[in-house]
Amino acid sequence: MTALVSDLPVAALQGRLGLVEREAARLVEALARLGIGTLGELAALSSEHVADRFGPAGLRALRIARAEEELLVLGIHGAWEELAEEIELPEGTAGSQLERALELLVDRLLAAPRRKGRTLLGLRLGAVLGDGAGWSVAQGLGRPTSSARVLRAVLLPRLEELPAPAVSLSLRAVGLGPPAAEQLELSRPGDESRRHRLGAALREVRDAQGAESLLKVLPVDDDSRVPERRALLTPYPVPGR
Amino acid sequence: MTAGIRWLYTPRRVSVAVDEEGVPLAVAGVEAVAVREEWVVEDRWWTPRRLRRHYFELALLDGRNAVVFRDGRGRWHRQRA
Repeated sequence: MTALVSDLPVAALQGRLGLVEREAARLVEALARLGIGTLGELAALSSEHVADRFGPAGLRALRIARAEEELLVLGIHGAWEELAEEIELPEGTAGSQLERALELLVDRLLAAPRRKGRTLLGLRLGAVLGDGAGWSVAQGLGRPTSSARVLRAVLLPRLEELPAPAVSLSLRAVGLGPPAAEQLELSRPGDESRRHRLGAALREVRDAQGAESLLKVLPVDDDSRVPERRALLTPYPVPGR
Repeated sequence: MTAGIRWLYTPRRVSVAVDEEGVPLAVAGVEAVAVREEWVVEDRWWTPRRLRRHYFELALLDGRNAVVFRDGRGRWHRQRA
């Protein structure tokens, strides 16, 4: 477990020390000033030295770095692991093309192997605008989900909040929940059973052959006079993931 | 475009023999027996990356159809269109 976190930067501690944000930032800054850049380097220090220099907060950080607080370690690793996708947009992308780009982002985020089947707890939709400025908005999901349909439904209205035309669009998971398969299921009607078996088969193919092995054609601009702008290949959404 | 995304119908370079008016006579060594259609696409003319293509849909001697275009630099490409 220690090896799992030893390469993580000390900044990964922020938000998990039971401190207000400013104090946690101060602790992380102090560690960095002393040349302690990773949790592995922090774990190598003696408890006495850490306690002398940083007090209870430092000891808590040390326990996390030494993987003595397993739950915290799992949380920290899950949160720090970047799960994000970005797509550049052709000039003048708007309306239905922008919605297609968002669908593509959702499909790619859900198909990312590092998601490992986990559900999403929240998202941050971002964009780089034409003038270089950044824009982003947080989107809660209410409950853990990995349904592309749900993600699209909550994110599509947010596109209307874009203050200006965007040159790229990004989607980042801000929290990961338990794998979809571990969630309670009340019933599985007939159609769902077939869908479930199909999903299992697709997952097997994807796990064996990689995320790029299952693709679907995503129409982008059917009427474009430039053929290569009409459609692209995007990861095939696997049911139940 | 982000790595991993694959656009469909991307053009590929191809060798095309032309007559004195620039009309294709052969594509990748296969004779063109007829020009079925011809059209021009201009786009992004308001940007530095102006796009200009002169398309030809050809019937080849081996029975296949081929769509080729000459770009603004005079290079030939084949494309499913």
